[in-house]
Amino acid sequence: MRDDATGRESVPGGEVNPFATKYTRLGAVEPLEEDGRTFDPAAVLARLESAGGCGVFVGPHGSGKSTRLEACARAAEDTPRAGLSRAVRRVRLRRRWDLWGTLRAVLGMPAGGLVCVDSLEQAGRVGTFCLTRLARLRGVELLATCHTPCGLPVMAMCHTSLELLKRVVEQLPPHAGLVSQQDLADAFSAANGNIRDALFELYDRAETARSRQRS
Amino acid sequence: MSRTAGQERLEPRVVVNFDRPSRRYDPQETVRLQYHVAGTGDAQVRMIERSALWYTEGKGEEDLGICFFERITDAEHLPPTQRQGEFAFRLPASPMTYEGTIVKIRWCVRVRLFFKGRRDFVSEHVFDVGELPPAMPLRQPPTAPR
Repeated sequence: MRDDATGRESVPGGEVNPFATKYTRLGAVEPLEEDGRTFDPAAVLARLESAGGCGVFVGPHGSGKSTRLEACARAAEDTPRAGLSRAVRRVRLRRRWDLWGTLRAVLGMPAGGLVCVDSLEQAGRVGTFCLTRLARLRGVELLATCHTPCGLPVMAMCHTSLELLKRVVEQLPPHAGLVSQQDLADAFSAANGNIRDALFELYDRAETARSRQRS
Repeated sequence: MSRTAGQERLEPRVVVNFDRPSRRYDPQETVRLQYHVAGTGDAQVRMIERSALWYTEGKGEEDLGICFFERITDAEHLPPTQRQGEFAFRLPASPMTYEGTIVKIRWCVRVRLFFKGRRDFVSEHVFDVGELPPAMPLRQPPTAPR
């Protein structure tokens, strides 16, 4: 456990499905690059600063944008600036009206803070423009996720691969006897490369395998 | 894991002993347990939270309900001065432990240690309430009534 970190131990009971949300939810899995290398949030935060304080992760559904955003938010919280802990705010845009709450979040942040916005595409072009202008005026950094480039500096283009799914699954509780390498390939293909959906598919396959074992 | 200058390596763990080794209880029974905190060296624990709760486990949204919660901040009752503790709580009538396919219900005891600084450590220990049989797939699809 790092000096500033959270540790966890779990003594399970019952039968564990390693693909349950408990093990795959945001923050539970270490973010990885497409080729399986460990994602470095500190490098992104440094790039964000040199890019003027606004940046975006771009990629399709289930490609790890939100996972990377959360890793960057945690890294920012854990890295004091000028000896002071850094204010970090997370916002998820579910619909266009949520933009007002995001603008208020930027207004309420002290200079040097970081606002992490998930699903910036919901804000639209004008909303994105207003948000970035306000962030720059306030001296607040803005890091977001978006499905397509939206005019902000791109911190990373997120892609997936079967290798990436395998590396994600390696981080989960043991799954021997529940799913095979072929299941991983089939789930990845069935989910069209969406890692989140592939994990849902693997949950079902693990449950089916367990039911077979019971009967 | 890192070493803080002049201190022992921090590898916290919490050993929990339920009063019933099977860890299986009936609804509305009282659960009694003892715990022992180890691996914290000389590190000062500023607070312990101990709780009992149920939670859902599956592939969608998660839910939970807290049955018992207690926070200890008195240094005399915290590591390194005192490394063990005990508590008891009465279970409600429901929900019971359930091994479903889409969703499972688990009960657990959590002991959470808050260290000086921003560190914390959560130890979770699952136990069973009731004896519901696990969900089983239908061998044959039900036939429609004539």
